[in-house]
Amino acid sequence: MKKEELSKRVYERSFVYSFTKRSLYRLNSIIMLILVLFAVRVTAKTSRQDEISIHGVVRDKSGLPLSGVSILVKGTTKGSTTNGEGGYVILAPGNATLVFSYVGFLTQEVVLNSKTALDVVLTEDPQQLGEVVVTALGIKRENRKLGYSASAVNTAQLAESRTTNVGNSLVGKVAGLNVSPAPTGPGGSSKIRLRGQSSFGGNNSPLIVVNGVPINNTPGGAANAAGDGNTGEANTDLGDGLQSINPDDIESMTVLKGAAAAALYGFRAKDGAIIITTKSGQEQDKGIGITFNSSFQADQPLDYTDFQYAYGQGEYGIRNESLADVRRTGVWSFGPRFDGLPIMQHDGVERAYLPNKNRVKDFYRVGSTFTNSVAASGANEKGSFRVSFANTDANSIVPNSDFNKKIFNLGLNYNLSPDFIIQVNANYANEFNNNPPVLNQQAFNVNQTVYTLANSIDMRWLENAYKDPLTGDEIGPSRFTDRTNPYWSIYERFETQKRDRLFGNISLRYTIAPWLWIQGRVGQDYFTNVRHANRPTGTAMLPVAPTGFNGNYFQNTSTFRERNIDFLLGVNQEVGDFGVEATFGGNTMDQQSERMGTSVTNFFIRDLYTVDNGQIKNPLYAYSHKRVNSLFGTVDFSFKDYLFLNLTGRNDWFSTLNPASNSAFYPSVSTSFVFSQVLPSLPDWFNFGKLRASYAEVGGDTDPYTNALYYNIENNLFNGVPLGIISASVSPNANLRPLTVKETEVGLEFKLFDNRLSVDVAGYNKLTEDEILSVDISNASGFEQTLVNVGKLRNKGLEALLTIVPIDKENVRWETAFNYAYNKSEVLQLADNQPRFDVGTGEYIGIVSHEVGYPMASLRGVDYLRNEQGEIITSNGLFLPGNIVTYGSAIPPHTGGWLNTLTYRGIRFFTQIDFKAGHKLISNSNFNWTRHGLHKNSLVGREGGVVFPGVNTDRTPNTTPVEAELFYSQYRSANVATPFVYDASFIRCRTISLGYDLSRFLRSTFIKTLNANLFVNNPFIISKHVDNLDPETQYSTSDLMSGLETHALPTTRTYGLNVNVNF
Amino acid sequence: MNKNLTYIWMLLLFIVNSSCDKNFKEINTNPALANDLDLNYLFSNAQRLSAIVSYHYQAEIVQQINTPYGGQLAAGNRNIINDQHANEAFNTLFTGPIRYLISVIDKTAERPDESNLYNMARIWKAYCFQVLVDTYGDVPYTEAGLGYTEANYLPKYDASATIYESLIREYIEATDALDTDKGSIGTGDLFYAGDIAKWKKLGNSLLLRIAMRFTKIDEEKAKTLVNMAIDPLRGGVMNSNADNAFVLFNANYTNSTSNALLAGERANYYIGKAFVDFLKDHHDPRLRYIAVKYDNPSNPLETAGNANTNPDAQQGMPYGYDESSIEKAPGFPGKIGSAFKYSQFNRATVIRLEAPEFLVSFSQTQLLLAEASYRGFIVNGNTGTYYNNGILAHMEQTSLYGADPAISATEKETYLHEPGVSFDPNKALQQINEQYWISSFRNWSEAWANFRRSGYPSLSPINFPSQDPSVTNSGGFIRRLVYPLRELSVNSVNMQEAINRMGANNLGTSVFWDQ
Repeated sequence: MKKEELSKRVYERSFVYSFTKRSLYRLNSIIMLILVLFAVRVTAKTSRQDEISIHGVVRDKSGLPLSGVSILVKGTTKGSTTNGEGGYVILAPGNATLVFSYVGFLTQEVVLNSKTALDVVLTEDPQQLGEVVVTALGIKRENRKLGYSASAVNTAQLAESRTTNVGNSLVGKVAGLNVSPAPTGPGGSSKIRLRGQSSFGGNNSPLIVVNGVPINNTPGGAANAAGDGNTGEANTDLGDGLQSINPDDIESMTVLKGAAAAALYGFRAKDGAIIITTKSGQEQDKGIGITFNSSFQADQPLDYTDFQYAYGQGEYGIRNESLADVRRTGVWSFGPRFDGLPIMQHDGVERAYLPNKNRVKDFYRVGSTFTNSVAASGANEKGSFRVSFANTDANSIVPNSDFNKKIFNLGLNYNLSPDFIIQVNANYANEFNNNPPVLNQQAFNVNQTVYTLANSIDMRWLENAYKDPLTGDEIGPSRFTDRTNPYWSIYERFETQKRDRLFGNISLRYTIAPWLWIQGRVGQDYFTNVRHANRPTGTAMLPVAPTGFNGNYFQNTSTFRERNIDFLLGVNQEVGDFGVEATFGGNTMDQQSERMGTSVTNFFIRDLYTVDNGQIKNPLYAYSHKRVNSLFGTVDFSFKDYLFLNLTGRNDWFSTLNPASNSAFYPSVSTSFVFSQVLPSLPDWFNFGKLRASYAEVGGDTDPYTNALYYNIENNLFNGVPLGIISASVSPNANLRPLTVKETEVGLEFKLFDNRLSVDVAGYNKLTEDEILSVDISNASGFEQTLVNVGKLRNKGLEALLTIVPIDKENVRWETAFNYAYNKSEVLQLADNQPRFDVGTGEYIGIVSHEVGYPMASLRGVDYLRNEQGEIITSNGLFLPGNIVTYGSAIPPHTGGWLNTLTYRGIRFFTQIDFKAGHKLISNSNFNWTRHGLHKNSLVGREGGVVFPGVNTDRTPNTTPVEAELFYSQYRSANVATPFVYDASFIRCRTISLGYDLSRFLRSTFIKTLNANLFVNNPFIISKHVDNLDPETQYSTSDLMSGLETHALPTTRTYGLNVNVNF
Repeated sequence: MNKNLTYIWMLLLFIVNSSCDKNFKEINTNPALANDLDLNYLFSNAQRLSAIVSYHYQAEIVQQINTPYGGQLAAGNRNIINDQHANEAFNTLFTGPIRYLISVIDKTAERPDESNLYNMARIWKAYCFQVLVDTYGDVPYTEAGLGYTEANYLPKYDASATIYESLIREYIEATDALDTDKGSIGTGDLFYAGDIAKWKKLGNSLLLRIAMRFTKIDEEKAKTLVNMAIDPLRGGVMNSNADNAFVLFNANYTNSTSNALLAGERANYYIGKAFVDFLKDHHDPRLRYIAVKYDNPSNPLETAGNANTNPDAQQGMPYGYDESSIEKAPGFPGKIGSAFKYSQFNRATVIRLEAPEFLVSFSQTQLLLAEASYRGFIVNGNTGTYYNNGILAHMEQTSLYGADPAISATEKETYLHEPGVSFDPNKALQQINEQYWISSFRNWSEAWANFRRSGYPSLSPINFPSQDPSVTNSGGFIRRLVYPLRELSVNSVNMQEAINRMGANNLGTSVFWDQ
């Protein structure tokens, strides 16, 4: 049994059921298994005399039909099973009792009373829930039948370590699932990767499917791409799709890691899929049930810096004498030694010359997040409903930056007739992101300034004097005018984004015959983003306006709509020991986005940021439309109860590709063999064993309009003359083919010793071919990049999950689970047999490339100039830029986690430790800290100059000292990256949580259950190798920027309290 | 039951047959962009974009601008490699004007009625490539700009001498093919509003410019080409300031160099000592439009306080110092706040945001003719007259920077008789090229090329203590810029071939005409 399932079981049991019932349930399941086996074996031999034919549909509470439910005529050996749409037919005497049993559900007995039509709703067995997973297209299937890896996420654990973006809660929970939270504050996105990166491109995010319909999870905001500093649009992270989901609404979450699991999603399956089902109501004892959940979190910024505190602000060892000196040198810690004597400071006051070690604590505040959600649900025999509302108020650790979201969710099932079900799911999110922090650029990036300030500056002095009282203009801390005074950034600059998002679907399912059903579904994901941003008048880095006031204002509204219309048709037949289930379907996906806005530069009236007040007005417009049509089918064969074969096929037609190659077929085959059912000689302690294997091909297309060259006209006339432009810096390519990912996977699962030890191991080999990627090309070609079908890439890996229950006593239970994944990627071939392609460049140093013969995402940079012996050559004591060399991959080959759950009476204690290892990071921060004199390594040569251990051209040792600041500045002009490359491996304690079920004290009240949970996320790092930084720091969720670190928000430690009440 | 099944199969067949890629062509055509456009528009933009930023290296090498700072700003002021500035010309010219001009040339090649546009584009493309060769030596030429049309993403580099031969041919053939009887693109031509006769003069002036590049290596060739350039039957060279090729920026499309020097870099850059001294020593009336001292140089113009343009007060920043050691430089004037009390460019004139960018001028042309005349390449005209005309032309050109009041006739006359300026045949080469250096102010690519070719003005090497050894070994001056780091990473094989042919990819390797 998977660790999630086990721990979920424990969780629910400990809170909802008394422990004494446990043995009963276990007995129950064993009986059920025997019954199922028995029933299947006897079906073929059933006599049909004196019996009537009974038919009906078996569903779960949410109305989803259950396939493979075993139906037994009580007291006989006669039986049947349900087909793919839950339908069954059985012959039985009119007075018989039918026993319905299904793995993961409570067995139910129904007296016939001469009825010939009988629909049954089975209740999930809370202990067995994990056995059933929701697979592609929303089909619920028994885990044992699956020939691929599908991990159900324990949704209770998601609530353990609540994060504002639910994606970030997945970290360390599933083997092979690699989550990197973007440190961009509460409104930010999360970066999720399954089994490495399937492609060279920037977004290898799995498909997110909510209630059967994909939603857009593309991270918004220029922090995730290349920003355009000229429109006033800064690099901010504006969040993704997962943040619009309230974790309390999630009923189940399945991670489909491999291609075979996700093959039915065809072109969208290259990175696997995460299948989310939201709650749609369940029966209550009486009337409507209300659940209330409240959580509070505090985010404490963590400071990992360990700077030198011997020399303070200043340059070339010279003491700052005047206010002007101070305001020129604010990012340099090359001043004289600290002496405690009075010295001029940024706000014009003289204070003792001493170090200030608390700038991170002084500037950033403790962030807070308050989430309240309420849900009401009910059900009757005709259907069920659930409505919920959640409000999140989050204050970022950056002052004056906050995020609010309100999420409404509706789930509805209704049986129009026993054969006709309508199901509606809708999710509306209203998000307001106020001043998301600027990243990945210098200007207005508060982190950049705060982290590079001289070590003697107190943040309050900058706050006291960020604005000139006479001119109203910015007072910057240094002559680097694009290091904006952080208080100017937070108080004078504004950026807001309002997002209204509605996604959901309506489906109709009609059962034509017990063996045949049809379903139609329309789903849509629609959102509007309204953004406003400025670059304030008086910002030091801005050019002056010829007349009036400088600055920018930018407003834009973008809309996105994806509509999926699909139909599904299912048939089911069973002949003797053989069963066949088949589903066929078609889908048309239509995706449109549009962006309208205006950017203005320079103003007539000061501090009025409107389009009308702008002097130069640039309209912005962009439009994009694509469509993919698909036909697909899946066939499941089963033999008895232990051998399963699943075949799927899907054909996609893409509007974005060359008509000659715009169609692709994606097949998959997977098989599962439950050997523990067949091998008679297995010992008693061997509870369950399964072997699985699969092969699948999936793929992907590209963006619209990449096949042709387009022209446009510049926004404004130039002295009355229109200026034409070729609209792309990416050379179009009309001959692109769809990419394919071919993946082979084998897996072994077994459970031993009364299910107290379970193991799930998977190995895979994933080959990506013909990926469509924009790669850097020579500027001399006229373009900076081109789209090409890029060669071949392989990801090989191993995933293992080990769950042990060392203690399982009446009052105490300890479960410990290890998950580990190893992924090895290799670039096999690139287009035109190029040795490498560059995909990303760091702000100061570092390149991300894909190189043949190396793992993906090679981090490269400029090395020192060396002689043939490898010694560093110096000239006048200074090193010189040399070759570009490869340091290693930015992608961790090793990832894993260790999760412990201890329950004692109503107390639940949970810990999670996780790690990533074997990858590299190029630290632009340490590069800056060195050249600015903050890094401890810059202490060398403060007195008397740096004598760098290099050699002269004649190989004699260098003996020329170079003044310290001059020496360390050379890193900037020479762009040398080698000293700033780090091993990015880490082990960290991710979560510690303590939960307590208080329900027992409330038995006589109207409250049904009350749970409280205290948690700490990110309490400490156990091991790391990067100076001054949390190695998980990143500034972009794009894979094109993997491993290139630049001043980002500090990572945080979160303290949280969560209270859940059921009425 | 069977009926149902039939319906379903029919439905499936219907879906398949209704063609799974219906309307795809229409869907995949961007309705917000054009598939084609009037090529004039691309040409106009190519002209605008060819005014590139060149103050980091080029202006520093010819010692007209200086900054004491290192790190990000380290470039020509310290004689070291700094990719972010060295790559400027390469990256912007190829993806900007050259890309547009190649597109124009491609599309107009087969359209006889647009032959004038075709030939203008050829001339201007040749101009852009000449800047590239002068800056880097070997660059991609025959395979350049073919990213879209021929999917050539990693073009080969051509030998610079071979490229030059082709550029000469282009200047000659395209100029000759220009036809004043045929239609023009009118105001879409940012230089001459479609005046084809002026384009002929521009083509010939460029031919004169490229011809004179050969004086160091092949005087005969220079002579032949000069004579071809000035041949009146071919249209002749520029003969007044009305023939100047320049881009007139405006409040909307501002001058990028001005933009930087007025904003983030305003307190970091000063005028080079050599330039101020020369102007000052010769009582040059242009000085007041170029040099100024502000009360508060760190502030934007409106709060910079008094602008002192008094010639006696001007002082250029000496080279070879960093921001600390400069305080020990002879005559260190002190600081105003964090800024230095050295002269800066006049923010009201020469580095106004809307300041024009001169690319080829009548003044430069006259000075080249002066040298050609002095060298005996041409028989007509008088060296001294060409020389004086060149000086006067540049003084008049200053009015476009907003020089107000304009330089008076008396001032001009006085200057022409100024010791050291007054034409002296014994110092002809020096005087002519010193004036070329002034006339090419802000046209720094050209100023640098002419400095390398003529050796004038006689500047002292910067000798920055930690300068690149290749500069030390090549006489103390940067002879070329290094290829972009990006190119080293992306197009390394072809780049290496060029290096093998041309010499090391450092700052000391001379381009072919500078041997």
